[in-house]
Amino acid sequence: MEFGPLIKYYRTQKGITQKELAAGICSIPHLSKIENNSKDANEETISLLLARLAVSFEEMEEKEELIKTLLRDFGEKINFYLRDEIEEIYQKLKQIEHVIPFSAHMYSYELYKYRYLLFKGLLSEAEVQRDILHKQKKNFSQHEKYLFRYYNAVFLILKGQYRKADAIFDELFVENNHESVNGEFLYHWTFVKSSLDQPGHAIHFGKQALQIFMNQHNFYRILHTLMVLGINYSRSSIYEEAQVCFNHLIRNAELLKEEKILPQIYHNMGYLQNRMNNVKDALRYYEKSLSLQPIKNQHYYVTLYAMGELYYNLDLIEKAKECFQHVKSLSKEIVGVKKQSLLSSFYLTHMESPEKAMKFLEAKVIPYLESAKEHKDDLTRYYKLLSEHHNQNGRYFEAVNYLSKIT
Amino acid sequence: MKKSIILVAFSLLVLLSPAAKDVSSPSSSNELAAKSINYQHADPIHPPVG
Repeated sequence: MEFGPLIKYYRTQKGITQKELAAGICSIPHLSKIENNSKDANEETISLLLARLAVSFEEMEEKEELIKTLLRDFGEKINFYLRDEIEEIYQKLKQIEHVIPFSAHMYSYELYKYRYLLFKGLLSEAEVQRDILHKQKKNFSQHEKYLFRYYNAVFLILKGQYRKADAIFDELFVENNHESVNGEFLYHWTFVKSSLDQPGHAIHFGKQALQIFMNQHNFYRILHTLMVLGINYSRSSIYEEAQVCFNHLIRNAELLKEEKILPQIYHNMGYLQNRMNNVKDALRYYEKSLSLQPIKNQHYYVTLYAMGELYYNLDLIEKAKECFQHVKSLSKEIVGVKKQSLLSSFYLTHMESPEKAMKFLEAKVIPYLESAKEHKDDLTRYYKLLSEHHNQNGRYFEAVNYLSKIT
Repeated sequence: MKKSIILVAFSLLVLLSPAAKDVSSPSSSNELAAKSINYQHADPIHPPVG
């Protein structure tokens, strides 16, 4: 504990002058030097000064130990995704926040605070905290520097900037000689690879993360990792493995009473069945997912859009129309469903006039996907579609232009 | 030798491509567009980042 600045903090807070505090204990210049950390005082002087401020030396020493323990537990609870415990420890830390700057854990605390804000999805607060930390990063220890970069990668994931996050994970992995990475690190990297539509990499890291979480009996993270693995097995057409993942998930989510995750599992089961061309089963799972989700929830619209697409492919145009109209009408109020909203408009326009739909694709959908920079596969499909469309209409320059974008 | 193999392969590719077939077929651009949008754009749902 940095006692000098701590004494200064309590003296100022209590409105006591240096003369009043030092009287009979030490000289004023000596106190001044202690407060500015330019002189090491003996334990007795410190105790006397603290006693006059009605602060116990032993209590302060204990607080230093408490901060250390709380921060260690905090990191562990985050790794185990234990939401209630995380909140409880955070509140305990908040109660002693005023003494933390005088402890040896000042930067660790600020870093964990950043992690907490990310955990809670409070992005604007996290951004402010990131900027505060950025100014202090020269003072960080090696481990604190690592944590800061890692948390920045988590921040980028939450902002949907997967390529930048991927570059950070790659650097950290190389710098650590491909070792000493924990389950949480591997899970987040799996998440990034999955979001970048790189199923091979996602499966590779996901399996390693799963093994670590299983050894730790880290149940929530096991569920999350199984979900990402199931998605990527589905994408890689390894259907049996995907089904095993989702069946495990359904069983365990019910056991753990993780009702929030159930609609997501059913959605992904529908996604898998769709890829396997089991259209009826896909619809059944999507419907089940919808029935468990509140309207005005981002995932509700992702599922509803998926159903619209299925109906459209089955030539059940009226039902498809209903889904797309629903997505289009309410999606403005929901964050994170712009893609579904634009594509619903595209399908609805296409039902009226394919020619107009192609124009809509060029004017609205393509610019959005290009600006987001994370929808490479979708873009390739649409470039191909537009190239074929222009080619058929004799607009060869436009057709070649879209073809060149693919390469 | 290699160049000629590549040329033959490329010609075959062009001849067998759907676009090449469509040139000789009477299908309209609208039909093509209608057929072609049957892609799967539906996304899976990822678990929480935490």
